[in-house]
Amino acid sequence: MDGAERSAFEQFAHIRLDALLRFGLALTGDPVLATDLVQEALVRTAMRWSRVAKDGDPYSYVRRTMVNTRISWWRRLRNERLVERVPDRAVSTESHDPMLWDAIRSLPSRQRAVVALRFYEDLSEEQTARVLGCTVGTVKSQQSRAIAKLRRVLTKEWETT
Amino acid sequence: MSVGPEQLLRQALQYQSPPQVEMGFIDNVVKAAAHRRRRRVVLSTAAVLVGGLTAAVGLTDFGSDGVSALDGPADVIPWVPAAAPVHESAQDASPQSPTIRYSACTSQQLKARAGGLGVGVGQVTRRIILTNVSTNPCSLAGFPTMTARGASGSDVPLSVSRDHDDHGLVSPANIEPGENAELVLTTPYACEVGSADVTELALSVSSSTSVPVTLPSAFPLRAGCGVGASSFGTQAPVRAPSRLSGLRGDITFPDSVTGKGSAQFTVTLSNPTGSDVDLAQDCPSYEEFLVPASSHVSTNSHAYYLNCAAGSRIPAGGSLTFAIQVPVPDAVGEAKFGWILRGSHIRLGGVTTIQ
Repeated sequence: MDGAERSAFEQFAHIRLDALLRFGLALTGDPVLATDLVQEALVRTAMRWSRVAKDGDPYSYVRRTMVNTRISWWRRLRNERLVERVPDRAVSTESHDPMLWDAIRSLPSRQRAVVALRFYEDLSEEQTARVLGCTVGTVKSQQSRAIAKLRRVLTKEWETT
Repeated sequence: MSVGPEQLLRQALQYQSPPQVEMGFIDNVVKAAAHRRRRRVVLSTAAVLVGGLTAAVGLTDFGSDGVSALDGPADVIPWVPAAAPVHESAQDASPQSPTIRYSACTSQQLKARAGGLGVGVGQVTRRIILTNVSTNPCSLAGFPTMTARGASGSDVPLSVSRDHDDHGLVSPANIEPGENAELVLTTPYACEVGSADVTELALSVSSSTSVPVTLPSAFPLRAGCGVGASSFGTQAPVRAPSRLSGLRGDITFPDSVTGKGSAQFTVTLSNPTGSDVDLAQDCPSYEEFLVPASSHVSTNSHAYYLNCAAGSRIPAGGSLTFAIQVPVPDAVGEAKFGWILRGSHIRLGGVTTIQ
């Protein structure tokens, strides 16, 4: 990446960082995992920036990479060390609606991805299917299961509080 | 009227505050990407010279579906439970802070410019670089004082507080001719509306002299809520490379593990350098952990020595694959794992599911 490309990538990342972190949070239900996921997806994007930028829709590319990325590398270029303690969750995920976030976290990853794309990114079922590389029918069934599970969990929680 | 899960989801997801990231997040992304590109080149070259197996190490998108922990190369060195001290020896402790070696820099000796912007936890950071343009070394110590001007040229009142975070700098700064000292200015994120924008600073480097710094007009210092200033310092020196610093690592960890037992995985250490790495003498140790991602409870990390009796040398351009085990906590759901080879740059990790 030359100087101009690096500058363009940094500008893109600065502008989209909050949205990507929110999307990561919706995908993982966990701010620490979300941060790792965004970092990994941005690294992969930066490695292919010339081509990604040429295609004209880097945001979609990063989002797709996040969905498809199962593993995140740690911040290995920093001097900081990995620690066994998982940092406390950011207050933000707990302050809004802890029951709902617990319910989101309890969903299988595929269902969480569908939920994130449909309800955070507001993608249509067709667009969601394209990102996930599956059929519209699969999106519908995953969404239906996710909503059913959330309804069950939330109803149960409400009844017990 | 009741609210359905769909509406709750939209509200929860779309009005959610984003997770906070650490300073220099994007800068680190760019550096990591550059590092990986270099690594690919090295390993591609190794592929031509050594053969396909070695080359596959490091290019594998590990953790892909269906990969078993033991599906690695056939010659996997077995794991041995040779416990190592959990805490590293004092040789990794930070070096002692330097002392002031030269007389204080004067404004005539210094030229200042704005360095990189960073985004931190609720903060924006701006580095200021001070170059010694004289022919004599000089020192900068302590915290700066400063005055500020806005784009219109009028003075901007500035409330400066001392920021005791070192921001990766070592203080005081002893600056040889042509070298740089730095300081970091920090402003709160949420202080933009109605804030005074500073485009020019005068940094006091001694009781009577100051150095001007011009900030980019597109990225002024939003100073209405005050500014934190670090002490003057220089970039922390890079440690001398150890015999392990040239090694690269890859981990193959199962996508899911069963609770309460031990998870088995493999770590491949490859040696893209031109000389063998001897493991037999002073056998390296590693740290590892596997903890639930949603847990607030700290769990112990574990430290062991590599099985150096079975794998004593990594030849130049070659690799060794070690079988490793880590205890699985009594939990269910997503979990983070990590593996660190002490004395190297190898820090591997990712996410798995405890079933």
